[in-house]
Amino acid sequence: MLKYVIFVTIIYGNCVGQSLTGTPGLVRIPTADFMNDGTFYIGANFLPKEVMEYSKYQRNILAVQSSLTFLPFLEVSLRLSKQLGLPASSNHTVDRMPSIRLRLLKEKKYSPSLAIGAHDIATTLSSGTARKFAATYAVISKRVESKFISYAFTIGQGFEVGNALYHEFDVTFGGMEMQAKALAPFSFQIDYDTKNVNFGINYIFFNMLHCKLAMLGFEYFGFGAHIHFNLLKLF
Amino acid sequence: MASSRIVNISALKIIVLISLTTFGLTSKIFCQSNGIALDVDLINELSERGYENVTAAGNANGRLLVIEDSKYRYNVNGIHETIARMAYRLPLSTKKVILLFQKYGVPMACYESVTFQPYYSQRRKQNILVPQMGISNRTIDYWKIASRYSWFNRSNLKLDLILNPEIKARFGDYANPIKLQININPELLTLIAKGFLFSTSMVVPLYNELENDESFPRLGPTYFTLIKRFKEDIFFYSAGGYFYNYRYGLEGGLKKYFFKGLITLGGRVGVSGQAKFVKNVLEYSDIKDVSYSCDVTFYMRQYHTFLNASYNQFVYQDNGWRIDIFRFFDEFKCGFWILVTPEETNGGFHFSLPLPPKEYGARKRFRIRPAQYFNWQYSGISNQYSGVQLKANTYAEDLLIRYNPMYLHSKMGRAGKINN
Repeated sequence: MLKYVIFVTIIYGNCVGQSLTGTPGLVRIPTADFMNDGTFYIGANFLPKEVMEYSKYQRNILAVQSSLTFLPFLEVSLRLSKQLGLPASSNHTVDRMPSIRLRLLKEKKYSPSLAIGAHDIATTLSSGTARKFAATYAVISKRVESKFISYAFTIGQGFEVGNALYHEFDVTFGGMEMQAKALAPFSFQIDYDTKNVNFGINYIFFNMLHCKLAMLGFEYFGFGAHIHFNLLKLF
Repeated sequence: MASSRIVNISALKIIVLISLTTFGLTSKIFCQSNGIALDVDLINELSERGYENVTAAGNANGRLLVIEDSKYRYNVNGIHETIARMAYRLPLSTKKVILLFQKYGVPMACYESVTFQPYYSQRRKQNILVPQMGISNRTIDYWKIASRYSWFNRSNLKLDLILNPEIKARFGDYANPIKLQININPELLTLIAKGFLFSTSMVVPLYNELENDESFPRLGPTYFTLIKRFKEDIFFYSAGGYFYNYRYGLEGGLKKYFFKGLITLGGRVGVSGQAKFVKNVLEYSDIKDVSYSCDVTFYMRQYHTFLNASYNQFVYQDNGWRIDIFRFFDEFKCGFWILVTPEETNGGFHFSLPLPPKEYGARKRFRIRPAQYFNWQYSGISNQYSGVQLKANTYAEDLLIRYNPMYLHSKMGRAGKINN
């Protein structure tokens, strides 16, 4: 199996895709990109057990998630994660991960966008043991566009805030996306999520269905699909 | 352009002229020798389109139009159509237009023209005047004037049979992660007098994985509601009967708009007891649980977003703060809430999803229609005895949001460009 393969992708487009974490981002990391005001995403991801500390690396995860750009600078998300393959009598339903992101700076021609975010912000247990995907971070993203290729660079810094069973994105993380006009609507992504280097391919069907195929740690496959629409134009 | 046919009501001329002068309206507009008369063509047109409690009066210089929209699911669509249909009939000499929107016989929002924008309609091949509306401070004054005219297509004692879908869900176990209850709740709603409503409903279960004693048809919320508007943008509302969450009792409240709806202050107090039908037996407790709340609501015009903060004594005698933020994405409403009591902190989201159709048929005596919206709330922590509100005055509270004058003005499009 190929571990390190570098693809140069070309996509032309400005669609912000969902990461496998459930927020707008690259393969797994969040970015500072925000969807247009009123955009609603809903979809599902498959995450392999080999990268899931949550299931003690024993069970694959099926996650259903949705995100809403509630205000142009405020985004909220909810992800429900279910461990697959447990016996029916198991005392497990889903893990709920509410998230919130706030854009502090909008990207301009020479300056990046800056956002802060927090995942798994609420828990039913004050001890924090119900927080399994906790993350608190600041992230910046910048697009660089030429005539044929668009690059998007992201770098972020995470912090361990609050009690949690597991923390994600707790140190420096980053990644890149490449898009080119000739191969629209494909895009290629590569990121480092503080544990693994991940690679992903995005494809957008009918301008609203995002599909992502990812190699996590360049070894294990994950995938996801999301549909998006704008609530301001729907009704 | 064909001018509207005017029917003289000579007996009211002097009364109206004196009234209008007394209330400080521009004498040039209404106090002319032509007098004020009903605009029958406009009334007929709007009545045939399904609007109710319609009256329109004026002369060559002005119009006063009062309507109730029972036709559109989204009241903003009714406002757009009303303004358009009136604009097509306005003489080019018009200098003043007053629009008053009512619901259930209660004056909810009033707008006065500040200026007019000439516009050429390609479709009708005519020049028209589009009034640029500002929010009026004289709602009650114009309401009293309009009350002196005949109203057409009255809504009193007309019945709506409304089919309300209801879905309850709870997390279950691994084999069945989400347990559901799906009900259809037919509701009979009628207006007995201005601002006085009666509603009764049934809960008809279609599918139930939750409580066993909810698997049979039973009486749903059944109550009277009274809504009144007074001067200075003060509303009084009250309800008595059998409400949601198996509560029965009484509740009354006051709300006042400040700065034309930008800020709303309110308070309410209720007393209730528990009442639940278990098979054919009514189990109930005494009415002794006092609940109250004080709240403030801010409207952020730029984003059509409301922020509400309230301090409550809830039905089960717990006290705490609840903060709601919700936004109208056009017709779809969704938002988030957080509840803080000494016992727990809870939160979640809620939404109001429009149900088809967009437009209802004109109502004669009886009409069957689906509910306008499917409302649903999600709670992070499922606790039936914490943060429970009485939910007695749901009609009044919904009206005061959906007919907030600042909110409607921000939705008026071309006619709402004046920001006063």
